[in-house]
Amino acid sequence: MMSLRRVPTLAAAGVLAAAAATLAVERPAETSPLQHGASDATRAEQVLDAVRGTSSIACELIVRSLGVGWGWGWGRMHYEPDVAREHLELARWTSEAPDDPAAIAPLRAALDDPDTCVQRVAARLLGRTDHPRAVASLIDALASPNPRTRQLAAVGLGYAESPESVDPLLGALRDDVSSVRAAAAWALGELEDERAVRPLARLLSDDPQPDVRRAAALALGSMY
Amino acid sequence: MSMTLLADAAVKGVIYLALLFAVVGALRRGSAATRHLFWSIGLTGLLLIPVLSVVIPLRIELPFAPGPADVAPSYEDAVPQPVIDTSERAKDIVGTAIASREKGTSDERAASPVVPVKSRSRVRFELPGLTGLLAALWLAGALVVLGRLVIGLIATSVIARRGLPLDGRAWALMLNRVRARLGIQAPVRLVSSRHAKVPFSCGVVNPVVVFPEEAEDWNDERRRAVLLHELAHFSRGDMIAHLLSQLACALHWFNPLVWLGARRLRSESERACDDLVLRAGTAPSEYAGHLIDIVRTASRSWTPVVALPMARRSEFEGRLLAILEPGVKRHGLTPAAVMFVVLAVALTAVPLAAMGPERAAPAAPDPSEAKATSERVTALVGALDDGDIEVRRTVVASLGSLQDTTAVVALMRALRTDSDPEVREAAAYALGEIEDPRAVPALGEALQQDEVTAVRLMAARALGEIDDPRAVAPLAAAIGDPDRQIRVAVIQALGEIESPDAIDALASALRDGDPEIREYAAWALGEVEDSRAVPALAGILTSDSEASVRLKAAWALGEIEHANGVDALARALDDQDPEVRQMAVWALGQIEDPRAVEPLIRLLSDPDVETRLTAIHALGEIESGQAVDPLIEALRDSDARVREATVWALGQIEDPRAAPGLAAALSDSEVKVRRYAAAALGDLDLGSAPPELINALRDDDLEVRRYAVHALGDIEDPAAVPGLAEIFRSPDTDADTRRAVIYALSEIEDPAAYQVLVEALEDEDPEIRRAAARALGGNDE
Repeated sequence: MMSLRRVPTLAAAGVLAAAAATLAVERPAETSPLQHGASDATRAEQVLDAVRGTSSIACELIVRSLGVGWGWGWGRMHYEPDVAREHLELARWTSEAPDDPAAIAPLRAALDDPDTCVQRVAARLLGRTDHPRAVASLIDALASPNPRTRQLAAVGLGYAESPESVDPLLGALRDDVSSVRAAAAWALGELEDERAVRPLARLLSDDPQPDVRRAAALALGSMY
Repeated sequence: MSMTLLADAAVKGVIYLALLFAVVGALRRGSAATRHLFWSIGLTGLLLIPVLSVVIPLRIELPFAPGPADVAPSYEDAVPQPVIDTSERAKDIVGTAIASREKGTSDERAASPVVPVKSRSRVRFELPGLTGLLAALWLAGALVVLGRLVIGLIATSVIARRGLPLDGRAWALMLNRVRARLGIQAPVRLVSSRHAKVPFSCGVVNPVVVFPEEAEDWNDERRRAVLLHELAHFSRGDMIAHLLSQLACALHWFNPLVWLGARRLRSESERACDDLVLRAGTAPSEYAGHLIDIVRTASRSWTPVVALPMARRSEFEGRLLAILEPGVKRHGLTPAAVMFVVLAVALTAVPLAAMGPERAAPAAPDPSEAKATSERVTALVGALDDGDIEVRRTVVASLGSLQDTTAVVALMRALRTDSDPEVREAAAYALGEIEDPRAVPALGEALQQDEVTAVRLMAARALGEIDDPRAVAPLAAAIGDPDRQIRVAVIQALGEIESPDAIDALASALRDGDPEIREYAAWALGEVEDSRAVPALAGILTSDSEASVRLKAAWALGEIEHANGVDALARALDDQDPEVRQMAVWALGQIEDPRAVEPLIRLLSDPDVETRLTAIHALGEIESGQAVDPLIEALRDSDARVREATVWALGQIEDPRAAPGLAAALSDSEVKVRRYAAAALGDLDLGSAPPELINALRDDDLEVRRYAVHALGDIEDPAAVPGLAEIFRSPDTDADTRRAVIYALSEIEDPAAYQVLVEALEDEDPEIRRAAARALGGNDE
């Protein structure tokens, strides 16, 4: 997540335009894996399958379309039309915000997936799912032995913006792994909860890792 | 909403509104703005009563409302329960209320006429059904009112979105001035739509003013008056007051007082905006003339509920009288007055809301926002010494986005001393965001001394953002900077600051080797609008090798509007570039100096149609009688648009010598030419009506006929009466034209006209009958 914010917008536009072409070669558009009218659980699995094995740049592109929100930059990036359509479908899927709890189990399982892109997409989809159990499963994942899973759970909670995740995230600020602390700091910035100000201030002044201090500074600036 | 709350709110609403009417009635001699303030805050208070009833811990016992004493015992144990769970209790309360009213005194009956109970004797036995019915009835009514509001919102947004944008130079210029005058920061869109018969505005955050299609043909005076009026609605927050009043109507739809109040609110807002236009210097008679013209072109218009149309016929007369009445108070509002009204309304609404049974009092402690922000700023400032560059960059960016002035000193230190140029650049950016003038010296220093161009560039831009006159000196010192980007940024910043101290520096930039820099400098001088810049601008207008630079110079001279620019502009009428020529014509029209008339007249025979058009327009602006004869010549132009503009310009000049030419133009093949000619003839102050104008009453075009009717009313020539009478009696004449004829006849004051008016007293159309009665009896309603 942090790397996403670091990419300057303009440079990203250029890189992503190139990435669009790569993606188009990787997966022909006419075999779009998404079906309309499928159940949320089926669609969740289809989306996860669709992103499995994509290159890091293509994944960045997909994650952007899921995370940054609706309509971001569509006009400026000249996608191949077919790629654009596919991404729009992904984005539409998330904007519909599934409330079917059956979709949660496959998404939670995907947080432990070996494929990085599948993990990242699953975290965002869980964060944007309109079901209380999605937040519960993300909080649960915050206690996973796998640091990567904990980090993505924190990212997902940043998207969910649910007040009940403040305490677990404050706990994650003391994680042994710096990437988890950074993700938790970012998520607390999204939650805009006053209780996080003092812990974030402490993180900014004391954490040994620059990435974590940077995330804390960003979070303190985004809370107002 | 539960039935309890509803009944409670209904009873209280009547008392409250009665009080409000009494108070505003006492203010009859105050300004419209004051009355509008009372109405808007009063109706908002009405909305708040049910909310306050739930929230306020204090309770006052009342004879007519269900107090704890005469309520069933179930109410006592109701205290800890949530308000929503009231189905059973509601029946009890309404039942008791109605029962108590049955045996109540006459006072109580007078105070609670709201719950419409027709068959009182059966009430006790049919309570559950009646309660449900009343609730359903109320809900249905409220939904209808809300639905109307939503449809209105959608309709206005569609009209505003589909309208053609009015973004021409003249419109943009006028818009900027009106915005500056009213202090409006938000972007304003102007559109024209054929669905709009009268101008109206919509949009709460970003206003859109919708003009009727005819607006393109209006003169600048009228455009300015209308824009001032419409944007006054926005700056006064009328749209919000209007929406709140509509919500109050939805809640209290069964109460006629609230509708009356909402109507008063609307008409007071119109009058308050009228007052604002008059305070801005428009002559009352002129403004009234614009209003009449706008209304008379508007046939039976439908405007959605949420829009604020500029003129409604039904409220029109009162408004006209208020505009023309010299003794009417027109002042706006002082903060003290606003505070007073809020207090007065609160003192009425709060005790009213407090009446009734006691409820639980939730008290939410408010966390101190300011303290929390300063805590974040302190933490971030402490990290400005972080050893990691990336962390410092983020810290500075975060301080910029918090926009807290307590960070200024620390950011200034970062700008001066940080070793990383990107941190310094971000600090300059953040200081520009915070816009605290204390940062000016540090930014000036960075602009002059920093070794990295990007930092200096950002410092220059930040100085433009902060918009403080003290920034002029450091910016002016950098105007000869070897780096082109810096020079551009400096000039742009000076253009933003608009300080006359920048004139010398900007004038020196007019001699820059780079044409784009010269162009920016000319633009900035136009923004500064100081006459001392005229010689330098006149110099480059006549000598610069680049057309784009000359163009901006001509524009700037038009902005400055100083007579010393006229000679150079007159010479620029022979410029080889057509755009420069047109801009020069426009600028001459702006300056309105008689010396410009001669050269403009020469342009009337220019081969280029656009040039002829702008010249005619400028002559119409200058309004010099010298132009009348040449303009009459131009009425024979082969281009219809030219003839149209000419007729308009002659109407502006208002010289009776134009009468024969304009009368001849009434037989022009082009409809618009005929319309303008008819309208213009009315403005000429003629002693007798030209026969062509009377003949125009038989024109094929409805608009031409209407304009002719009005013009004849203005000229007041008895010779026109038979023609007008014929039009009035003809079965083919539409209702609006007939009403216009009544207006015209009432102006002429002739026995024959009197006869037609008497005849009109028995007309089928009630509005005609009323108009005729008014015309015959003076102004009494």
